[in-house]
Amino acid sequence: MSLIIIIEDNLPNARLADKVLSRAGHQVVLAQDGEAGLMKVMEMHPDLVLVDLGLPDMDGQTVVALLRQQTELDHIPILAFTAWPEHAAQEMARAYGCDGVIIKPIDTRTFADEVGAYLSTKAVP
Amino acid sequence: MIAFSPDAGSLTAISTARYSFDELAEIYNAGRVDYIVPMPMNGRRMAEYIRAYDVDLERSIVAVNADGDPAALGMLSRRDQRAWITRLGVIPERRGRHVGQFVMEALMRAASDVNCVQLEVIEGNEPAYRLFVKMGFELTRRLVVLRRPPNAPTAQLVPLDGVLIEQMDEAACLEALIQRDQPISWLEEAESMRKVGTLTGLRVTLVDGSSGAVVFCRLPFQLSHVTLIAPPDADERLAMSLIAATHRTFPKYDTKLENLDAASRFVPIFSAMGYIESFHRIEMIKHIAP
Repeated sequence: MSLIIIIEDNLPNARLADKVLSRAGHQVVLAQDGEAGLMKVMEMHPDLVLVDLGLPDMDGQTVVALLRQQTELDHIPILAFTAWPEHAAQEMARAYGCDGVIIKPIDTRTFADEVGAYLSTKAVP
Repeated sequence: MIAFSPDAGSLTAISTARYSFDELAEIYNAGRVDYIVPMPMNGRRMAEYIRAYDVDLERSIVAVNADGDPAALGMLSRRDQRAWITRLGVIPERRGRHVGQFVMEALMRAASDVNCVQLEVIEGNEPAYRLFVKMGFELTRRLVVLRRPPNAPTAQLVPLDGVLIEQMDEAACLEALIQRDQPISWLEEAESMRKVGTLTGLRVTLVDGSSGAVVFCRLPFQLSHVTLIAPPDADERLAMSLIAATHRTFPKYDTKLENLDAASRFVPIFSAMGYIESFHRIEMIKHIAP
């Protein structure tokens, strides 16, 4: 079981992602804005973080930039979670240090596997 | 005020001054929930936005339907004889009944004493663009929003040996902003920038004596509204040095550049310095006959 933090302000989206990942055996923690998400990630050191690029208090890019400046969190995979066109999302996410992108709306049949693929890509120190 | 529009059903325009910032943020977010670039806000961010961009809460409206539920939001800002329409959005399940037109007509009535009304629409939002054309707005130019992550390596690639870098105080920043390339979007006007964050600037003089400035708003984790000021005939090394000096001085800041003219001479230089295109906006204007 892995601990996954989802930073997403859109509750229906967050709950759906939570449901699918929980069913796949992961423990999921939700944060509805950037500040709450940053605090939860720093406190809980999850196995993976999903970050919506549009958050109500600060942009998702800023959240990722702040997380990537914390060396003790460097091993945690971060995935951008966005409805942006895929090419633009990939470019933006890569530049900010994300490990990948999940395009919304999610496909509930494949979402858990897509996320799971990133759980083993970074070794825990 | 009860208003009736041919297809909008019974809608009432209620002044946004009767709503809290949290309520306005909630209505705004609901109207943009399905946008590709939704840019949600919380109450605090909404309050900052209203203050920075001179939103007139008395003249801005929430359109409420017959059941008393908010259907749309539209905000109007005023500066001298100009107005700016912003934060316009119709809640998805209430679209398709000319609600957007109802809001626009109410805002245009509220702006009837100005010389011109400006607005921007995200490129690709065709229904909104068609509405604005129908309302008499004309396209003026294409704008680009750029982002740059902290520590993008390009800032280190521009040599600054022998380059003089001086910090500018707020008065010097405001003075420099007057010399910018024209026109300037509402978000980037000096009246906006001085209220968004701590106005910060650097003056850079190259070895050959050419000189320019970069002015931006400094927020807790972000540099925003980055603006280059350089003579029209300046070598591109000056612009590159201005950008490099900014990111060497503030290496840990995420950076956002709002509404740069997509045809600006600086766009390729920003791109070469690690800035990424986030999305485009279309700027539009309607002149109002006296």
